[in-house]
Amino acid sequence: MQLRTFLAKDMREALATVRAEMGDEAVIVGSQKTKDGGVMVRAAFDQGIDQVENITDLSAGEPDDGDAPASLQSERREALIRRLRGEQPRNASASGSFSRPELLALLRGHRAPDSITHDLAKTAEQSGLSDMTLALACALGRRMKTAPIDTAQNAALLLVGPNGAGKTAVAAKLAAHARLTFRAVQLIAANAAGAGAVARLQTFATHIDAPFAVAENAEALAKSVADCGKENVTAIVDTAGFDPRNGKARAAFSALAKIPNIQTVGVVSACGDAEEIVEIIGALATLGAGRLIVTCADLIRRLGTLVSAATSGLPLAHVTRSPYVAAGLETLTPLSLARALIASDRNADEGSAQ
Amino acid sequence: MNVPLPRLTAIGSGKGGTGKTLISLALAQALARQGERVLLCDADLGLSNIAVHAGLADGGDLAGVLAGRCSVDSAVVAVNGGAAQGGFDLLAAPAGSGALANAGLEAAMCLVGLLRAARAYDRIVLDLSAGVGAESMALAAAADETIAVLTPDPAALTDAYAFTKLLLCATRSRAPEFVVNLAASETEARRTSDSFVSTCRAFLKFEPRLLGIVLRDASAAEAVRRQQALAAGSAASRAIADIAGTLHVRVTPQKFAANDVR
Ligand SMILES: Nc1ncnc2c1ncn2[C@@H]1O[C@H](COP(=O)(O)OP(=O)(O)OP(=O)(O)O)[C@@H](O)[C@H]1O
Ligand SMILES: [Mg+2]
Repeated sequence: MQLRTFLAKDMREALATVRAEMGDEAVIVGSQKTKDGGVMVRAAFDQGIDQVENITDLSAGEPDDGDAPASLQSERREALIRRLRGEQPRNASASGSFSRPELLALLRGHRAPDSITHDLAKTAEQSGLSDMTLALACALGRRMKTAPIDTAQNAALLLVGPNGAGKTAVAAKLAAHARLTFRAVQLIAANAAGAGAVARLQTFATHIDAPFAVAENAEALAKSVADCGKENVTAIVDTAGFDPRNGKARAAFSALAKIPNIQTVGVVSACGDAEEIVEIIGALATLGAGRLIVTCADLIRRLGTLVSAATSGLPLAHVTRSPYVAAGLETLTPLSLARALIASDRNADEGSAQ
Repeated sequence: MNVPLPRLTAIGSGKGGTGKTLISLALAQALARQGERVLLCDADLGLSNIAVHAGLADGGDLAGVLAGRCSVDSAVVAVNGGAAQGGFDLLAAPAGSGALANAGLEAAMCLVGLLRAARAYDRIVLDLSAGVGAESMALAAAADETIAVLTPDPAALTDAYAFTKLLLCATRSRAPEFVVNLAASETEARRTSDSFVSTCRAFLKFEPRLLGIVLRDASAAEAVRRQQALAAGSAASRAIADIAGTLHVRVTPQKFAANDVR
């Protein structure tokens, strides 16, 4: 479903814009007056279920073909669900030749912020490459910095980000990653990360046989980090989530980021607004975050937030696609992002009335 | 006559953090108070955390059940006395173990089969994981009733819609009912509900039914922080008890009918 927000001077103008941009069938799902006397309208549009007709019944979980071997059945079921989710098989011939208007439309379809969209299209054109994917990758490459986290180095990692970004899962993934390279790690929950998060982190620490500690305040954390440094142990620090755009919350946090030998890593969820994520990342950067991990990439079909995050200026360390610890940290390159943008373009485009 | 019990009630939502676990726990307790024998199953096969929410050291051995190492009745732990004594039973994986992270679709279907055979229960509440992953959707589709948890957050609307749409597709006809959680006021909850209903009506040609409203309740958040059960008198727990009442009457006639046949 497409959900968009429109600002207008009055209701009549707002409705006209909704109709023009999203079509006659769009549904208004919310509206309110703004401070300056205008209106804000939120509208939704979706194709409905026509596109997924002729689907076999999944409900009872009964095998739909008694004769087929189990592996085939599961493969079919998976294909079915993939179809239900609107994913299409990757088509090798999908990449066409470069066209600036097409690229602009593609990026807009993904709801990438306008400023970035224009910039990327311009750079892609200047690259002189005739292949769409390569031209886009080249443009992304100009603005994207990739810096995977090397858990073997001797610095503590401090995870910071808004509530619900998935910091605890990221901490677990980083620890698992380090353990795979036989590196000693310690998991630390700082600043009362919340009972649930602390318990989750602790159980996880037990499972990978890593020590676990809770640091009540900045001094305690500084001491733990220093101890880890001396013993050549990578400290991974989970913190309580907060909105980094909020000045007060930022001030409360900054004491942690100032601890010596600590690297601040921003964690943001890909589920959100592509413009807003730029603000959040900017705020994280002022807090001292040196790089970024983007979570929940599996939950989005429009990749605008990934484009925002990748081109934000803050080096991108990793992207995660699953809350499961076993599914690790992926690295996004300009080419893989360009491919993903083009591959999912057809899906993302389906719903938008251009 | 074959009584179609236990009844599987799945609690889902596309988005994370909408309150599925909080509602599942309170619902299990409230249904038990109505006299049902209830099993709460943590179907968040990745980072499960029901046991943490409930303040239990041990959540049972769901992984063992799925691996065929033990039966459902030997793998559950009793909460508040257990299903036999006015509480309910819990079946979960060790908190945060990720033990079932790669369990996959087959495991989800296998779980449904095992739960359906657990005749010691009248009701099994499934706390699904966030998202519209294949496993969650298969579990939601296999349940007898599915409840989507919606919040006023616009992202929750989009995600609950996706959840509803996929469920409709998977079952051809059965769409979820829904609960609005975490609204600041009745008005905000109604507005959220109206948006969701009108979106579904417009694009899916179907009107989901509002089962109940659970407002944002400071004592609920506090209870979770302290890993305690919701206080029985709290607004959230009363709202969830009402929802339990609605769900309960659906199984009651079946039970009576079964007893009357003699
Ligand atoms: N009605 C409510 N009032 C106040 N706080 C609430 C309410 N419902 C949920 N919460 C809080 O929201 C947070 C998320 O709730 P919960 O863990 O139940 O969500 P969930 O949907 O199960 O999350 P996940 O997707 O991670 O499984 C918890 O901290 C809980 O205390
Ligand atoms: Mg949960």
